[in-house]
Amino acid sequence: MNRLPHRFMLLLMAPVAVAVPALAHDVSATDAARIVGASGPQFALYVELGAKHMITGLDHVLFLLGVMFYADRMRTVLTLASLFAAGHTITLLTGVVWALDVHPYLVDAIIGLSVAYKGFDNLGGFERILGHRPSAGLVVFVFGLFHGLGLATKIQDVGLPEQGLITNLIGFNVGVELGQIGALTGILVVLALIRRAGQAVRLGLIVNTALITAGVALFIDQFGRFMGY
Amino acid sequence: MTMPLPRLSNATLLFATLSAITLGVLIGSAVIKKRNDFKPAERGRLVDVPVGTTMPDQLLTFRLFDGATAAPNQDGDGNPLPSAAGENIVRATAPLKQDVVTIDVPARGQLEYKAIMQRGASLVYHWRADGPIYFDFHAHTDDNTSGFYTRYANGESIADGGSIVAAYAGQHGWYFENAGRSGVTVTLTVAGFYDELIPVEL
Repeated sequence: MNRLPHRFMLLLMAPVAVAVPALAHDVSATDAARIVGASGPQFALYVELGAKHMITGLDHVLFLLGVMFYADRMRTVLTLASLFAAGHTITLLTGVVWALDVHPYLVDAIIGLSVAYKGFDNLGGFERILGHRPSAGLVVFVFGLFHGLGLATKIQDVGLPEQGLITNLIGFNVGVELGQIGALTGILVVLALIRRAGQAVRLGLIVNTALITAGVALFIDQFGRFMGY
Repeated sequence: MTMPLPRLSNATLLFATLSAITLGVLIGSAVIKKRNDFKPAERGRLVDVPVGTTMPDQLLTFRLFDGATAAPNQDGDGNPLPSAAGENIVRATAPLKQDVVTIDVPARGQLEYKAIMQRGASLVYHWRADGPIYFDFHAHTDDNTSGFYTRYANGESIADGGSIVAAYAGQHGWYFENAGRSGVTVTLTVAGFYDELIPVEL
């Protein structure tokens, strides 16, 4: 690993770097207008919104990629995915029902940190510093709570009509889970290809370094917004 | 729980982490800078049209009656004939109204004004904001359960103006969303044959 071509590595990180501005996302304006135009229970609409948010929300997808990067057994994948789902479901539901007014930029900054955290963890950073890896299950659950809080602030931002609130909210969450399954499928295919390519160590270094870059960029951008820059 | 991680040397781990953080900070700062360089008047095709000035020609999407293209509408002596009655007119279905409303959109807030219109009714509008604001000018029927709506225009701007003819009866309105940290005041002027202009609780 010492002889790894560093310049080559940076070059490979560039596309990820370029993509970062598109990462910080809201429920799109089109969808906002559809929510504005809608009234009462709109289960199907909110399922679609939830799925779309999860799949186009690259911060969630990047975090999942980091979480699953070294999960080599289906049981591990399912356990981690369930813990993440449990975490964000709890905060999405309670966040909206109790109308928690958490600053969305601050939540998005923490979500950015979660991406960088997984990148560093996958590089073996915490193992090196602490002598052991923090429990992957606990970490994915706790960050899942923050991702859910992010979802809650987003859906509240575009306005959730009081009428049919619970139906719509459950629809949104169902959509989020469907989106997560979709994103997860794509991620697992990519990871299988990486392992098959026989370059797992090198690609692991590149991808996880890129995750740190993307996570830090997201954090800076969102924290900047929070600070008013 | 997961498979053992590949062991990187301290040097590789340090280099990868530090270069990733540095690059991340640079990109994040560049994104912030780009956001601050945003000048609404220079983006998109929306042009600030202050009330009382002439609209630039390229904004006019209709053409005036042109005698040359109306050649078939002539009598035997070559004198122009009128086009069919009712062809270029939509009769008013409501009294002519005009409203000027001042809308304070708080930081991270949203507000909407809707004109209730009958099918075929028309209006002209103009709004101007004291800061960049996201707007979505759209319409839907009164009992909107299908989620169907018509979008006239949307984007981020400090002003917009135009006219519409309602293709169906319902609510035709302006949704404003302020993503900034300070409040934005929008002055909306509407004139036309709408039933009423009402603010909407979101």
